[in-house]
Amino acid sequence: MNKILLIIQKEIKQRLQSRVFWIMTLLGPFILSALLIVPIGLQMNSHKQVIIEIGYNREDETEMNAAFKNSDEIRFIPITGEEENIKLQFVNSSYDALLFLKSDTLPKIIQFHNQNIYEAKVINQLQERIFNFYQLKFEKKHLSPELKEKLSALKGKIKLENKSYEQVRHDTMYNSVASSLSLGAAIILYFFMMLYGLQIMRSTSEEKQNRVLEVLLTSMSGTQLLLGKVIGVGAACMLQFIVWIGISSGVSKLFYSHFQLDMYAKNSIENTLQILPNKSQAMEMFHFVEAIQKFNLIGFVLLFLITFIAGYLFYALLLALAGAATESENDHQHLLFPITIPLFISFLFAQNIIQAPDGLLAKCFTYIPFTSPIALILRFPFGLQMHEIMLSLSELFLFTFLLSKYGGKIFKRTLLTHGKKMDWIKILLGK
Amino acid sequence: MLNPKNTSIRFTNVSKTFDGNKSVLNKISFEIQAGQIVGLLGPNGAGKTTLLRLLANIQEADNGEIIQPFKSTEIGYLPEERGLYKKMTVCEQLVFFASLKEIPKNQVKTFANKALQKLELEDVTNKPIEQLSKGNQQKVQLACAIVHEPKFLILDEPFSGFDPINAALLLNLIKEKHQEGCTLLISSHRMEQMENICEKIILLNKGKIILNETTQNLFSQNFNNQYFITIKGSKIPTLNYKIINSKVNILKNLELIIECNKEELSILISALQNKGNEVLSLQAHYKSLNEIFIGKIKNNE
Repeated sequence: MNKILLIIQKEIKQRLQSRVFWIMTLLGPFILSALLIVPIGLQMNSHKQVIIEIGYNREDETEMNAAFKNSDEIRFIPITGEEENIKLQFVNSSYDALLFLKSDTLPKIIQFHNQNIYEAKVINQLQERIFNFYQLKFEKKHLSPELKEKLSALKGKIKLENKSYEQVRHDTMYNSVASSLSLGAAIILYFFMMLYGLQIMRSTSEEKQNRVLEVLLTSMSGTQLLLGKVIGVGAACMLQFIVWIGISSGVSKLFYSHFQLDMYAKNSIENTLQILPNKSQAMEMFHFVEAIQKFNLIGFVLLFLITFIAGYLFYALLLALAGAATESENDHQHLLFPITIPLFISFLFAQNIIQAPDGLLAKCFTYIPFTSPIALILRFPFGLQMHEIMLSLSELFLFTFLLSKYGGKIFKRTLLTHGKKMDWIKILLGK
Repeated sequence: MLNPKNTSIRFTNVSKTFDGNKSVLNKISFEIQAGQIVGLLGPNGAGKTTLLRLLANIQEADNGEIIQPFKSTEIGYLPEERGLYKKMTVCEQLVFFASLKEIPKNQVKTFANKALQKLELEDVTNKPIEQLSKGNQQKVQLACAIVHEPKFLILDEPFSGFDPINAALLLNLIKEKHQEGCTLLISSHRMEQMENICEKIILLNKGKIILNETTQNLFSQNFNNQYFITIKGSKIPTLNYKIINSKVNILKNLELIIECNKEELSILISALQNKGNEVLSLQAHYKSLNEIFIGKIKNNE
């Protein structure tokens, strides 16, 4: 055990002395956040024209055409007829929303069947056009100054209410936050497993070439050496994670207080809505804050760390074995390809896993040790069951244990073999 | 002074194959007495490194019995190709290797300093390995092998890469270790150094031992009744004995290699003196280890 500790200490010290390690540790969270936030921001800013169907009375046609002019964001489809028929048609259509403007007075609350509209800008435009429509309609009827005043007072206060809309909005925001976080975590997991796994592979190969490992083998077994290297590099990686988590939580606290996100929390949103002029934007923030609060962050971080440990050990052991069998960059590629392909495939299907977290593909990937680390992280925010987590992790740890147990002998044998090209079959058969 | 163990190292019918059928060592048997310096010779690919690895507990034999009385912490191993951690300082390196050999934490520095002193590396103690000259890196590698004061030292090509000064330092170190009671097994192609320091020679060819003798026996067995005689002057005398070789040395004296029975040696000297030659030196002329090596390998082919 003491000898494993010595190797662990050496590996940690070696990494802590590297400038690149500290640059990555301190700047990593910012670089990765930028890499994640920029595409999301770009996606949010990309416009899509929504189609809103508006049911109205035929006598209001002039006002309808005058008020509901299409914009870059919205295309309006005015429609007259029986309300029930229109609703039926709407359900079978690909339109984004439907609302009826059949009332003779301006209602404070308008029923709004929304399927796909979340942007505050679109909602604002719609509210504005509804107001204009009623203004034109009332002007035609020669409003009394008193009524005009009442109408003006309603400007900007029309509430588009739809129970399902709120629910859809809420779920969509949660899904969006959860997808971003799980995908981001999966990227970090993949990145670190590969980064540190490859470091082990390269250092093993180098130390094999310069015969340091041969000297070490006079004092310890192959298993001790293998575990020492893998755990040592993993410990350095965990240290980096802890610093990252510290920096990230500090930055998110600053972000939270700077943007006063407290005011959008559930218990204070009512007051906030009364203060802020742009209510739809406030609601947007409310949904965002609520989605973050709903997200099981502690559970997610815990699962992430455990999955990282298991996944890292599994892949690092495999890569260390590959490193022990190789002496050149060409050989690295030759042995690396079969290991990285399953991880890459689990990444390739990340969107499918997020979209169908309980689908067959997602479930299969959860129980294959090569793909389970990524699948677990991607599925967790979408109701992954505890027994599934336990089963998947147990399987991963079992494979890792078997790999460390039998890998030690293979590791030693391959370390002492020089000048021979090896493939995985030869390595695993110990030839 | 170390306490040489009473038990010796013994190989009995030891075999080792690679890839299932490639025989590297084929039923080899030999014994190394505790405290002995043994030279392991053989052409490239003879199986020397595999034999050393078996002794260093790095590899295991397929068949046969190995009696190796030393614990892994009592063995020092210098591999043929040198390997060190390039970023570590010399001192860190020695402390690391000493700790691996279970030297108590409070003593590792003392052991490291002692090894540094022995190899005259005090000036580079705090330098990283990558900043050292190749010769100094070799010395650090050797220091790593002896830092824990092993009782059994395995040296694979220890002289390679050393200049004559450092080679002399290494020779002294080997002699010192021998005096301390350390058992040494040295594999080298430097025949002249090996014949000077080794008490026993094991010659390996194609995985088999073709020679296993004490140096003394080896030379006496390979004595061909030849004597090396130096006489004053440069004129080659006419003798009834076969002159194998003759040359005038730097002091303008004549060096002769003459074939003659031990019993007739006094007659030869008298004959030389009778012819007016002053005999300056006389010594038995043995075959060099190099000649023995080449002869044995050729016979074995």
